[in-house]
Amino acid sequence: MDSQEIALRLREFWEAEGCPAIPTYGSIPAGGLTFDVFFGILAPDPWCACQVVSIVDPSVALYDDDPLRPIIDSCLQVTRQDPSGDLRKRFIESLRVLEIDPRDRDVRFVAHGYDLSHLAARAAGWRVLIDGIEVGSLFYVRQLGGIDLKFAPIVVEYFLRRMEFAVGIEGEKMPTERGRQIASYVLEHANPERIGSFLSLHADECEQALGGGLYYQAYDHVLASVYLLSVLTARDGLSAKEYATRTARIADLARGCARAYVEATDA
Amino acid sequence: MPDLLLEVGTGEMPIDVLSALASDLSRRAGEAISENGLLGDGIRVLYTLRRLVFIMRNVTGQRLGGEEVINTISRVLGGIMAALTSERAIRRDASPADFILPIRYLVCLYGEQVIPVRARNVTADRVTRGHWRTHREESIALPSPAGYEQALAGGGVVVDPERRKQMVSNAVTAAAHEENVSAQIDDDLLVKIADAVEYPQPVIGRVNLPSDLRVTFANAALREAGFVPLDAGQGSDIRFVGFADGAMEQDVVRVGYERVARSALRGCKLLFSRDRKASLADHVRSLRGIDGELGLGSLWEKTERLRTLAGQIAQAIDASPGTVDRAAFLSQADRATWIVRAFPSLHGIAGATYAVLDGEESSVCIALEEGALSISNGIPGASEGLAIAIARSYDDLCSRLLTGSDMHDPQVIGVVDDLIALMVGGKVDLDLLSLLAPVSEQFNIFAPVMKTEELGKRLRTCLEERLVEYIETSEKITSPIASAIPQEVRANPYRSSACARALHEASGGEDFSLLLGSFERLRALLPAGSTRAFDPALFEGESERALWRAYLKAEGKLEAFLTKLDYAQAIDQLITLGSAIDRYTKDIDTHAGPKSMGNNRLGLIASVLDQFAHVCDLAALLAAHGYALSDEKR
Repeated sequence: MDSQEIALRLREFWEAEGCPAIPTYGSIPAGGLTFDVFFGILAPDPWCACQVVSIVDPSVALYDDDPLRPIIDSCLQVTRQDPSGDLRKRFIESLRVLEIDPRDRDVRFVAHGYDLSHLAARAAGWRVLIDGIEVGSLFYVRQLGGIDLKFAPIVVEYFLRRMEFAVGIEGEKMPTERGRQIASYVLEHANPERIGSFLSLHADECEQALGGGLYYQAYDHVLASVYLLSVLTARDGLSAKEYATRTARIADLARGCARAYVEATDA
Repeated sequence: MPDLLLEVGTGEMPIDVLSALASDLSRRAGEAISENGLLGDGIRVLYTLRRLVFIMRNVTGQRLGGEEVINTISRVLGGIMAALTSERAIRRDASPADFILPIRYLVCLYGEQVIPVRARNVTADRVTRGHWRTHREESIALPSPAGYEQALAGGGVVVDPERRKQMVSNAVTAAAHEENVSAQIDDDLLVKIADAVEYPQPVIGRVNLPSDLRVTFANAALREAGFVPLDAGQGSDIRFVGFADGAMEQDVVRVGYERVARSALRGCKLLFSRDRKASLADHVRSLRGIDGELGLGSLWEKTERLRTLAGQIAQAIDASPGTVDRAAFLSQADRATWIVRAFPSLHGIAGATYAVLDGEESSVCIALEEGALSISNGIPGASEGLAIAIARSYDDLCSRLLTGSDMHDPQVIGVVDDLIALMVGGKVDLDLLSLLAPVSEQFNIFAPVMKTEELGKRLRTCLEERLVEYIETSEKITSPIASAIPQEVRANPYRSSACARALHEASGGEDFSLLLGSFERLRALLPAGSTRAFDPALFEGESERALWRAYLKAEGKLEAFLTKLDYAQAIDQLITLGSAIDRYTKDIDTHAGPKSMGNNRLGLIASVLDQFAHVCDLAALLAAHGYALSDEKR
């Protein structure tokens, strides 16, 4: 069972649970949310969906795309704003479609405070480990874009590349060429000064777009900023103060996007 | 009399706050119960990552009837649950309350009776839950609080954290025995493992040690991943023990654990290789961009302060100034390395290892490693390592006090205690307040002037309070004796300790009791504000001249004894003054004759008492003992 088969089975499981599959998204930075999820959560009505997305995490560049700490991972992301039902139980049930029997395995839910401060969000939840390997997460979002959410959603994630180990794929996985190149770029070639300038330019462009009420376009710059900040942190090890300042700036932009969307949709 | 049990069933809570959460719940419940007219014998604090438990034995109402007791318990515990799950509690980012909610179930029993405490939409009953995975969260009905732990053990849950720690520790010992190696598990790791599971089940794994990776580094990586490494020699496999939560398929889980361990070691080696692209000294430059822990500038500024402090300490303990300065310069450099950022416990060890690889002098490498170790590893053997360790503790303490930490904050107390232990254990004869002046400008950059002026006072108070505590607990010397340590040496822990030991030894003797009496009589003659000046030519009586001669004789000797920290001899020397004092107080009327004669006599008395004050504060000892002249018949 490879990651595509895993994704397919899980998508079918969640579709049967009332979470429609929506088109696969390209890449988002770790700690980001896709357009669909960010604005879907802010929509006036409860929103459910599952979506495969590629997550890029430059912060683990040092580990050279280690299979257990991959720079790029495919992720099936399920978002449910429907307050009914015990999603933790549903998550455990979903493991059975992958032929994982929780009774035989060391399945753990490890409490974790998710840092989504760059999206002006408050989130908390659990990392999910099977036999010590982090294969997914469950977290709920209380606030997004600075807006307290009427229906606090739970986001369920399955890290498909790592899930392959849990379903019993033997042997070691090699780092991907793309992952290696990102690692090399982040650690050796990225120019911190220029990245700092890019961050400023993205902020300006984001505000420009928001001035025209173009929140989707503006959010594009938020995601780009989250990625660049991650590169900058991994490259240089920003001081806590500088990191906080830059995060706050991106959070302001995310707030602007959320506000613009809510005003436009009168949510 | 019935026991009281409250169990709050939750989802998985953050393990780093578990113990504090459980203690807080029990403290609040215990206090609220006793404040409301109920009595109980003792409280037990139990928890797992999925439940908080409060048990109080033999709970009764002092003047309350049976129904009133139940109503009171219900009201009190209901209030506590409301506070625990209030909106205010969950407004904080990822607060523990985020994980307590939603409450899955509540159990509340007073003897055999259910107390229907409510929290949100959950009402307590008598049904607890077994392990979520191995026992499918089976319902376990409890007849009463008695047998609660046994009932849960039957459901695959060990609810006593101490018992889980014991199980982990025993399993590691057994695994080490089986593999014919030794193993050590530090308390932090033990707690981390025991709190992460409801029923620890050992799984032994094995991984190859990557070439060129030090065992120390590999072990740190394994510990960070939550495994207990078993001892291994360089070049061989490393065996380790992991702990699953409850029964499972050992062979399947082992594969996963070994994969995680391999990844951890691979990552560790990558970090090591990356670090080695620069020398340790090169990493010092990066310290400018890394904030210190307490907001007093970057690690670069901390390094500069450590160089100043360590240089001063080196002079006092005859350490090599060049070695100490180099070690202080490099002492924080490893905190800019990737390996220490990933595994903070390697701070010091990584610096020393990298220094060796860089070809730094061995004395510098030793000072780096010893200077960063915690006091639990013992006192540094090399004086250069000791200088670094003292400078580090001192800077930490001053930084905390400057940034507003309370003197009774447990972390401040911990740092002061370490500093005192280093000074006493390392036999460092140094007044710690004297270190402040050379480094105050470096602190002034970050702290307002008022605060740095205040620092000296706070530092003195802090040292004095903890010193008395240290002497009482570590040296087993009673507090009256500790209170007699002279004010002028209280910022010098080693000297204080030497003084207290000598006083302790001397205080059992008859001579010392007589000395106390002599001292008290002499002191009674001296009004406040007397000058120290006297002219021996004005002495008239033989008793006056005898005391003066004894004083002169003692003065020189006392100075020599105190320089050598020989407080026993110094006290003996004071005892030799006793007969001259007794004769003086018996024969001389200090008010007789002209006023100038009286003042001259008082000048001599003040000077004699000053000699006492250099050795010990007998006035404090007398006050502590309630000693009075009328007692002196011995």
